[in-house]
Amino acid sequence: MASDGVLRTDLDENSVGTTQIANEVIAVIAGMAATEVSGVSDMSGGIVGGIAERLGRKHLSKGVKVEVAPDERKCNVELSIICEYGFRIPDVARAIQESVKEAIEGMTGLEVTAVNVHVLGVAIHPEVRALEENKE
Amino acid sequence: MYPFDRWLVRVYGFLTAIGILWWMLWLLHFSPVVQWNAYLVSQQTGWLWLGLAVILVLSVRYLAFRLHPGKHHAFVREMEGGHIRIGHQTVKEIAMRATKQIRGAQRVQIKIDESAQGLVVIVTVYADPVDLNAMGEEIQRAVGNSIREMTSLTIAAVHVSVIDLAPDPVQK
Repeated sequence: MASDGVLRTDLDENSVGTTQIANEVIAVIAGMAATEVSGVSDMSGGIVGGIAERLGRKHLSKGVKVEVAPDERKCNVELSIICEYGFRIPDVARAIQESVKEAIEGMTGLEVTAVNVHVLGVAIHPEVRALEENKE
Repeated sequence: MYPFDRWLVRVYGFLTAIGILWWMLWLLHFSPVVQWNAYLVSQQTGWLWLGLAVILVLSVRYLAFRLHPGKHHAFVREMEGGHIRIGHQTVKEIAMRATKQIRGAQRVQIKIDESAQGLVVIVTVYADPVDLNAMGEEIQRAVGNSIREMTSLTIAAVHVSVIDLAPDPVQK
């Protein structure tokens, strides 16, 4: 894969071909699994992701980088997230690692060797912010 | 972004806006602008060169700013399933948020250094006229607890520096 961004998975012995899974698909799986974790406010995808979202496109792989090993059996995932204020970052990161690993391994059969989480900021939940503003 | 850079951005934005406005008026053949341009070009161009030089210096400064984002990137912690990188800015935001919740702290700047014993957080505060010692202690407690609880990083010290009293106190 790695060179063309597509992972080729051999089917079982009786299969008549291969299945190709694009890196983008793995990134989307990882992104969706990560955003479902409690304490994740958003993914941080830089300028391109931000522009895509402003144009109305849901960028599900925003903030996700996938590297597949040359043997096409293992992968590393890097996620850049914005954490919700008040949550313990190590706990959120651990939950993300478990969720992403389970989702990718369950859906693609790839072995996930590492899920690296980069916390780039904290955000306050809009409801909490509104409550605080009302108090003031 | 440091306060100095914020001021540079303002100067850059102001000069760029004036320049673009001037150019647009010239394109629209707005006669005072056309006459001024003709006069400036014919008489003295020294200050024009000065303005262009300032804009050029600021542009280069911001190109360099984007290419070299600073030595502090993140605090890395190895875990079983991979590592966590907690961005320097994240820790600053946590400290900022904790400080702003303290009564009396109005405008806040946060600086974070690293020492062998852990993080050293320097909180610079423009305060309301309140009991400053009590406010300082509360900030130290709140910042230390927030960072420890949210990131598990070790805090060596939280230094609070009240540099001025804010002119317009806000109720908290």
